Amino acid sequence: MTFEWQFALEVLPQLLLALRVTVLATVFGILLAAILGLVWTLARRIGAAPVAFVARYSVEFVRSTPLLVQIYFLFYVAPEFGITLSPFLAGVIALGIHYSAYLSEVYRAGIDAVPKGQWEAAKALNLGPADTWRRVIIPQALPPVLPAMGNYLIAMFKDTPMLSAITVMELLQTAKVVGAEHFRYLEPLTLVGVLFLLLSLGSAALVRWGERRFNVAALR
Amino acid sequence: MAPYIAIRNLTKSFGKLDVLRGIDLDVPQGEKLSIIGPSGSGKSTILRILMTLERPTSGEIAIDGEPLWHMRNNGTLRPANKRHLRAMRAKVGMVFQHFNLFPHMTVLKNVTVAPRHVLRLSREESEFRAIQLLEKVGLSEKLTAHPAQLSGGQKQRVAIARALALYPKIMLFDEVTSALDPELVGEVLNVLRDLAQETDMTMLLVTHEMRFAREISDRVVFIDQGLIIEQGPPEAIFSEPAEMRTREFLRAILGEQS
Amino acid sequence: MSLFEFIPSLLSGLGVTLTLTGGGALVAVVLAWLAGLARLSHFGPLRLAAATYVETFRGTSALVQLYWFFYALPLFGIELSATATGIIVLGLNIGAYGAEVVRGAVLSIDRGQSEAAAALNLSNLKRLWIVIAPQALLRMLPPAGNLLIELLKSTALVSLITLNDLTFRGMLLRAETLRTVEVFGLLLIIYFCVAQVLTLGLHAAERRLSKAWHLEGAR
Repeated sequence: MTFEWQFALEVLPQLLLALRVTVLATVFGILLAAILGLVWTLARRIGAAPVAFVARYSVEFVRSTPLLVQIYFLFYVAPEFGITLSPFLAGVIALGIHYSAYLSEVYRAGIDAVPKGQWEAAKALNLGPADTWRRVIIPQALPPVLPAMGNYLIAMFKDTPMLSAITVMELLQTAKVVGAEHFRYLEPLTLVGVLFLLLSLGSAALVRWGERRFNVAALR
Repeated sequence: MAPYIAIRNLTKSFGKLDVLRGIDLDVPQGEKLSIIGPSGSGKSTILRILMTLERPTSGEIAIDGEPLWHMRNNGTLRPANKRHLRAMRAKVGMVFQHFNLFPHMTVLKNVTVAPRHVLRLSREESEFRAIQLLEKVGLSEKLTAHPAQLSGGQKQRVAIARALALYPKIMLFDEVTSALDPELVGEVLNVLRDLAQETDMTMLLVTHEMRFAREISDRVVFIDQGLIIEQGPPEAIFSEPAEMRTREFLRAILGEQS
Repeated sequence: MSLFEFIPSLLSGLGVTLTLTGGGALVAVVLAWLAGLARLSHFGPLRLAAATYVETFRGTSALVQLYWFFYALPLFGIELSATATGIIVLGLNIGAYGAEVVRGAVLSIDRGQSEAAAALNLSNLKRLWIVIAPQALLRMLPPAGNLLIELLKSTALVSLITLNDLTFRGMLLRAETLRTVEVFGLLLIIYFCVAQVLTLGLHAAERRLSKAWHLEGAR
């Protein structure tokens, strides 16, 4: 069996269309993860002891269980509570929750890296907690962790094929459908691999570039 | 008699920085030679090139008549290969400023690892020899300790025993007391003094301990900005240096040390 | 049917999950060392080969890799069982990330260590295995622990290529009983417990090593 370029070219447009779903899921997913991750971090940092405890173990739990099972859980369990989620929505929420656990760790590292003197200085200037966070801590904590966030964005992008398990017509699911139609999986699956490779290598290069730029800026 | 170590027109550049700018130095067998000079003058680089940790930019070095960084091939010299460098390295041992003990090995293992794997001695033989050496440096009670449990001075004494365990003909000491707390310098210098007096090894010391250099050296070389400025017996260098720069350096450093 | 009656059925899938985790980890460790060291080699073609492997498997999805090996590879006449496919693909995938861990850990060892080994005239290979690798191993353990959890999680993907692992059993059980919340809840808890055990094990190994070398404080 050989790779048929003709067939590959035929199915490419369909796959490129499906890429839209993949990218959309990634974008919505990372937005949700970024917000939810911040909630976890703040809950652990400034919440009352029980809140902090729950947040800490929730993060640990989400991080150490498979995304695929979490996707199933959301998709099949939500209807039992009278909420019907579309496969796409269930997938995006699962991605968002799963990666919020990772981003929460990233934020935490960023906040821990802000020197203690900054907190003390904010206190000495009599800034309230909200102003301390908004004007002093977050502006310093966020830029250094942006590359790490970029890497998790790429990781999430590569996890979107799991949404195929609940029939979201993203890249992999489309390739499987096309493959089943033509009884040829080699070309569609290879193309999916190549598309992922190109996009994630491209984004990784972008992240590295951003990192260098940031480092240069920080040195000035 | 031909010198044991012969260095001819040795230069070394790191990028645009010329660290050594033409060193000529002969060291007879068994000589105790101290190299002094301001930091950044290139003195450590000479030792590192002799240990083959650093490749010279140009020049020639011979040890016991054998070129170090070159191989003889039908009367012409060509760059040394790995095997030649390994064979030459067998004659040289080195002790570092920062000890560089292996943290995951006990003291005994640190001293036996090279005899076992390089000289292929038996376990018993290498341990017997290691214990003798550790006794000599006063650490026979620390055989099973790990480096993290030792003081800086003890670490450096282990490092000396470790280097001696390969029976080198030449020992290089690269600022071996510079990383030590002042109260620990003495114990390391005592070991060096004994070595200098009791052995016929050729010893090259890069040091900032002027009094010690004066006491144990046969000859002192002063280096500045990659060139040998002045050399001679310690009395001459320390009491009546001929060169302006030597005088300035000694005044600065001895002022500090007294 | 009570919750407890679900457990035996789910646990029968745990064996498959653990086999894949263990087998995948073995493949990953070997590949990580080979590729990680190859990336540090002085020999260009070796570096290029390792970089190609690492970037390809880090740059694509584990699930896509799994499908490709399962559906596309047989077309070239290479037939592997689903279990073998799972172990090899997950091992290749995590091994690519592990290679970066190995490389980073080896590079993080102080240069003085390899200089001292050179001054003792140890050969290149012995320098690596006697002096550098053991120290690098200690630094690798925390990131390796994270990768092991990632591996455990990614074994759930094999349920999609017909292997009856924990997740696959869970899907079957849900279809049988329609007790979705309980079945999936239990499933998540089992994965969590296995992950906790693995994490604790690696922490213990790390503590043991640094204690043996008396490196208290140095985590």
